[in-house]
Amino acid sequence: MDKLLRVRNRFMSFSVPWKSIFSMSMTLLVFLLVLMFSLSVGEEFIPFTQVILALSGHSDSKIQLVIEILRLPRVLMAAMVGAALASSGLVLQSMIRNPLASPDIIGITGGASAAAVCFLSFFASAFGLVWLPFFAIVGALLAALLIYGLAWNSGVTPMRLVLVGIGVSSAMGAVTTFVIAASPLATSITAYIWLTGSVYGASWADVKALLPWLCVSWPLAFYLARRVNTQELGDHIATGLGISVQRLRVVVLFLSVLMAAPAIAYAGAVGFVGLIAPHIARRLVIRSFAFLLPMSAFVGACLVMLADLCGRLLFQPLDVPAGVFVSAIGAPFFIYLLYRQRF
Amino acid sequence: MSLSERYSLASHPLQSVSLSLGYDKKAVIDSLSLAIEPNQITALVGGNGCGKSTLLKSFARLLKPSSGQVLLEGADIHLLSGKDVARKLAILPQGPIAPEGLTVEQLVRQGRYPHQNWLQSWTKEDEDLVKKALQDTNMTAFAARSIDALSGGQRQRAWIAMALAQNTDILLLDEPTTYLDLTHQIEILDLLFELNQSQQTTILMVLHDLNLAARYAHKMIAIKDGAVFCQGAPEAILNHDMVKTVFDMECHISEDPLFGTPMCIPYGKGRQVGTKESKRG
Repeated sequence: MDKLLRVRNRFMSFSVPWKSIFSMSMTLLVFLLVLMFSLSVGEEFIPFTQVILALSGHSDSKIQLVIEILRLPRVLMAAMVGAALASSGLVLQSMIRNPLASPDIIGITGGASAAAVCFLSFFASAFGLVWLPFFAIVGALLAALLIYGLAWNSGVTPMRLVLVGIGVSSAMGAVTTFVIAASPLATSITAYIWLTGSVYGASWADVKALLPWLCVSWPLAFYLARRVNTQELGDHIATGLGISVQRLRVVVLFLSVLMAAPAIAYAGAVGFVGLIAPHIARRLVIRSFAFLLPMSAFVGACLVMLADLCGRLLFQPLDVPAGVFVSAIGAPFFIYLLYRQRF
Repeated sequence: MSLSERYSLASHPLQSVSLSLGYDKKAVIDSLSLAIEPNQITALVGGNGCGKSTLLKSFARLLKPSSGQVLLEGADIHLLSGKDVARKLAILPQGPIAPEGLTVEQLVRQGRYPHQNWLQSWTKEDEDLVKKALQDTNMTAFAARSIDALSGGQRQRAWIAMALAQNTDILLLDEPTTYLDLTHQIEILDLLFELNQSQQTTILMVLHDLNLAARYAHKMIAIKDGAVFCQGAPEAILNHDMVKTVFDMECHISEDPLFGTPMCIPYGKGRQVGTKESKRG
């Protein structure tokens, strides 16, 4: 009970277990290593020292180009997408009090996918591809509204929300499959790659488009952290401790959309990160939302960066979408963590 | 409002005024007025489905009345902010479930929620009260344990510790002893009794065991079909006719040889030992 870092003064007071600080620092270190590694390997290997020089703007122009224009935005994009999806999954799991929730299971990803595929088939030629993210975000939002509306019965219970979400998710899946099947081959291929999820050809413009969303949703999530912790004890206990459970539930549902939708919009329907990253985070840090949030984000970021790295390297010159490898890397690591905890 | 009415409002920490409650338009409680005595232990007793749990929930702001009011220190509980209520009244509902992997200490810390804000999330007072709650419930040794790894009695003590950390004058509990063996039932009730004696905490709880209710509670309220059948000191109201009406059961009322409180022995079938006159109904 005493291995705590306590901070107490006139303005603020909090305590953090040293153990969590340690595992958080380790994860940050791993994150930075993966980031550096992703920047240095590729079609051409660039040593770490050169990467650091390039990042500070002191390398020769060719390496500078590879790092700054080609690799950095792509790696950053992968990190942000992973972090956003992982956070969204954590938020949903905490709200629903069920470890099997994630944006792809309760239909948020499904809504974005259906909208994106419809856009690619019917509107892309008229509007231009730049509008794809907008449609995906709107689709995710509509799906969330639909789920919430259908689950409403003088208040929303977590279980109803999941069940309705799974229903909505499969309905959206049906729409997606139908539109793909009914589309010309070229559109179907584009749609299919989008559905797998990829950060191929990510540019600085994409990074700049995604970043503001995270700058809004993350502080909001931190602000809600204490409330989210308390509502995990159940509706009655949380109400008894002074929380408006129903109001919090709406806010948190839309917070999860705010996190997942833009990431999906720019990188496609990368699955599994939202489900597994929070679980990995829970094995590494104490069960408190304010710690789990950055931890899940780091884990999610590492997963997608590594997945993208595999996609780039393993089947050269083919560039396989990152989405393919997320489960391939995440699942064994997760099973390893579970296995180790048996003792 | 007359002077005597005002006085009664101020002297009762918690009361209902023509309160009606129901689930899905089905009335469970109809126009009930009831006042809880300050600094006493009150036990709500009654048969299954008589509305006692519903009543307890509405006293804790967990249910909105269809009409009437619940007054906390004279103010309508639904007009107060959730945190204001939580600083004065703690509720432990039936069968709470902790998230997987949560430790006892983390759970107990949650009790401080209504007293904290975003920047002040772990003051000296918070830490002291959590420590004290753990000590009072004998849970200090288990502080770092995960709730899932505890026995039923320890788990219930952990939840009570959370409610104690809330540091309120009023404590509401819904069947705090269900699923516990006799040893742990007594342990929990002793703990609550001590709390009432040392800190004058007003305690209102639903209890199934009439004999334990009679032993620990200063006042007993018997609920029948969503209305108060009778209320008063257990020795005054716990008798054959009351049990017959409220529980629809024949019984013999005797005196507890240790505490002198009334003791209810139900009739029914069973083995007969010795030469005692049979009253097995």
